[in-house]
This record gives sequence, C-alpha cells and structure tokens, in this order.
Amino acid sequence: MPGSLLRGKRVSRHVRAAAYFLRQGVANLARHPLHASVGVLTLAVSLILVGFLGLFMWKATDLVDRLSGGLQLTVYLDPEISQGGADELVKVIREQWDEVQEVTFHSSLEDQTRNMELLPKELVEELDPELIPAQPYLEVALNIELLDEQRATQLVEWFGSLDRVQGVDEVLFGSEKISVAFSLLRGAQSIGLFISLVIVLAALFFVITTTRLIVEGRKKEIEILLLVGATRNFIRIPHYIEGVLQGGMAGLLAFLVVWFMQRQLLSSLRTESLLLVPINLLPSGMVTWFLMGGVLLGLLGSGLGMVRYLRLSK
Amino acid sequence: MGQMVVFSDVTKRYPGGILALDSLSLDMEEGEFLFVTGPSGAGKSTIMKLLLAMEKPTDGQILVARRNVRSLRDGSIPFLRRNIGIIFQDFRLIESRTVFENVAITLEVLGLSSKEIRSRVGQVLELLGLAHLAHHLPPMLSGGEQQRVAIARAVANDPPLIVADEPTGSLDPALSIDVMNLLTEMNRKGVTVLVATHDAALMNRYRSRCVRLEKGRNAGEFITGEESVQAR
Repeated sequence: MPGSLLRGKRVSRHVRAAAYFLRQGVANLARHPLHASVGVLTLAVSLILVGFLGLFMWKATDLVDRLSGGLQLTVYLDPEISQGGADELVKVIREQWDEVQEVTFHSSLEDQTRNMELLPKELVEELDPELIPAQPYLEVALNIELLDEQRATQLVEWFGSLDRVQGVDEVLFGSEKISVAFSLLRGAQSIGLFISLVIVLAALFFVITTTRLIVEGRKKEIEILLLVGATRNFIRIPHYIEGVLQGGMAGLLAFLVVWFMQRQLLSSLRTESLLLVPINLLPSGMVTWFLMGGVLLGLLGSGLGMVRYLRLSK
Repeated sequence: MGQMVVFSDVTKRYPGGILALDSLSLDMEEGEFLFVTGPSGAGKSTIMKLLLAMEKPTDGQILVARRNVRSLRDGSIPFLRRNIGIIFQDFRLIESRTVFENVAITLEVLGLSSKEIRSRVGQVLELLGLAHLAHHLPPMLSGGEQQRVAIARAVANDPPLIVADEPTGSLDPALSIDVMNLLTEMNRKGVTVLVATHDAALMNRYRSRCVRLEKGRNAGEFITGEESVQAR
C-alpha cells in the first residue's frame, strides 16, 4: 500500500477516535446526570470560593494602594522663604528618604486658592482675600510599600523635628494614619494568605473527594470496559473530556453566581445611597478566568481520581 | 487444529497463602467445547481470571491463542482480552448504557467506524433475538435477556475463544438451557468455548469433555452426556 494511503488511514483513525472520545465524554454526562450535577456543583462552589478570595485579595490590595497613595505629609513653610530655600528643602527630603514618592511645592497663592475652595461661596464673596490665610507648603507623598515599621518610626521622628529647621513653619502628618495603613496591609496580607490556603485546600479536597466518589460509582463500568479489552487511554480520555466539560460548565455557573451577587450587592448599596459612583467589582475578562479555572480544576480532579483507580485495577 | 488454551503446571497462590490452583495442567483444542466443574473454591473462577490476565500465575505457563499470559506486559493485556468473549454469572452489563451500547463496546475498543459498529451489532442482536430491545437499558430486562445481551457482547467481535463463568447460575432451568444452546451454537460455528459450572444436570444435556477440579488440581476428565464417567 502506498505510504500516503497508509498515512491517510492512520489520520482518519485518529480523527474517528477523537470524535468517539468527544461523543463519549458528552454521552457520559447524559448517562450519569446525578454524578455530572454533583461534579459541576462541586467545581462551581470551589470556583466561587476561589473567586471571592480573588475579589477579596484584589479589593484589599486596592484599598491599601489607595490608602498608601493618599498617605502624605504637609510641610508648611515660612511665608518669607525664598524659592532657593524651598528647593534646597525639597532636595534634602528627597535625598534623605527613598520612601518619598514625590515632593510638590505649592506657592502661597495656590494655598490661598485651595483655602478659598474650602470655604462657602457666599463667605468668599464677602471676605477680603487678604484675610484668607495662605502660606507656601510642600506636599510629601510616601510609598508605604517601601516602608517597614522601623523606617516608619524614624521617618515620623525626622519629620517631627523638621519644624526646628529654618524656613519650616509646621509639619502636619498623621502618624496614626501610617500605623493604620501598616496594620491594614499586614492584616490583609496575613488574612489573605490564611484564607487563600484554606480555600485552595478546601477546593482541592472537594474536587478530589467528589471525583473519587464518582469514579467509585463507575467502578463496575470501568471494570467491564477493561475486561472487554479497553486500553487505559480508551477509558481515561472520555473521562478527562467529561471533566473538562464539567469544569467549563462550573466556570460559567460560578461566574454567573458571582456576577449576580455583585449585581445584587451594588444595587442594594445604591438603594441605600451608600454608593453613588458606578463601579464594577468583576473586571472584564473575568469570565475567561473562571472558565479556565473550571477547566483546569475539572481536568485535575478527573485526572487524579482516574489515575488512582486505574493504577489499582487490572 | 492447534491448541487454543494450554495450562502447564500452573500454580496460583493468593496473598495470605491461599492455594487456588495446584500444578494444574489442561489444554483446549481450537473449536473445542470444554466444561470445567468442581465444588466452590475448587479453582474454576481462578482459571477464568488467569485466562483474562486479571491475575498472574505464581508458577507454570499459560498460553492463550499462542500468547504467553505470564510474560504479557500490562499494555498488551487489552489486546489479549479482545480475543476472548467473556460471560459472567452476574452478566456484568453497564446499566447506564442501552443494550445496543453494551454490545457495541467490544467493537468500539477495536476502533471500528460507527457504520461498521451499527451493522455488526444489528446482526448480532438479530441473531440472538434482541433486536427489539436494542434501546432498552439492562435493568429493564429479565435475567435471561440480560444474559443474552452478555452473550451478544461476547460474540460481537468474533473472538476465537469464549469463556463463561457460571453463565446459568442466575437463571431458571428453561433459560439456562436457552443460554447453553446459544453457546453450543457458537461452538458449532467454530468458536472455542470454555464453560465453568457446577450444574451437573445441565452439563449432562450436552456431550462434551469436562475437567473436574478439586482443591485446585485436575481431579479427572470425563465426557458429559454419557451414562458413566470415563476417566481419561
């Protein structure tokens, strides 16, 4: 037989086998609706837990980011300070502290404008602008992620003594705000780590136990297939495909549940006027992550359950 | 004609020291119909397990269709089993699959096309009078019908050897005869058939060689369906 004909036959046999495995994977779901439902629900619950964990971690990091982004010191300068004196001070602060993200100089005029904005309009219209207090100041933004607790204490002390330097009038900073930010960051990190460990272990335990139970329920079927001459791949592949399909369905279900819950949560927050700006807790593309997570978990679960069983059976 | 099955001094000892077969020797010619009989625990089921490579012998040689079962690699076992049609007392049908699907699995493992499978399964179901039950699930069938399905599955891929472990054990006498008639019919068509049973009355309806086992040893051979037992 010519080589190309042989190759063609081989390809057609592989295509036929792939079609058969896919058909069997789908058929298995229909043949075992209870097993399939339990499998999908287990995977979906695991994904929902992991999804909420992801959301929690993301929001916690976001919160700390925002908090640390807003963590700044205000150094009020002597109204008579020269531009050179202010520049020198900016340079010293920058050189002294790597944790300083940015130092911005604001003139007396800018301070006056800011103060005017803070006052009621009616009052500003009647008030002599000369009476509104104004003085130049430096805004010092800190990067909390670069700070450790020891450095934070040194920083508070250093800036606390800055008002004794010539040209500096007063330093305003919330040392308690730094501590809160640190506690939050530490708390979020340790709680997040603990929760992620528990949830990931629970999800894996869920999936592996359920798959084992499902494989145990199909023990007789697998034994019969082995007795009539099925190879291990012949048994395994449709089972993996079934796991992937279940995982995909679970991913979609988990996404819909999380999406629905966030929708309900946001809508009740809006009703209570607690949330005035539109926000989306589920970033775009999240559905893909849920699907991929589901498929991966489904494959992992079916793989582990089947490998163990096939290793023990003859 | 060559030999289909050869057991040479086969010993099988299970973990815990239980001796299931003790230096057993027996052989089967191609196209032969052989009964293996003996009391419970004599080793009948162990012979079946060894033939299907579900167990490996502790000692001795086993040849099935010229394959040495003892030296088979795990990956080759499915290919040995495709040459053996297997029938059990408890039918061993997959309950979630229809009669058609149960019969089709022996052809699916061979990688045949759907068209070939439909045609072959249709023929076998017709032959065994099961065509009208093709889309039924096994739990909807009687014991006799389920055993017919098991026979259909065993013969669907035209194996050269059929082994049946107490195939009539769960059936009433009339159905037992019906099942045995099907097996002898297969044998007439050239298939080698080995039936393990302890039903002496049933065996005596057919004229065939019979090996009697006792405590895992060959305790004698005789021809069933004859007035007197003939030692060979």
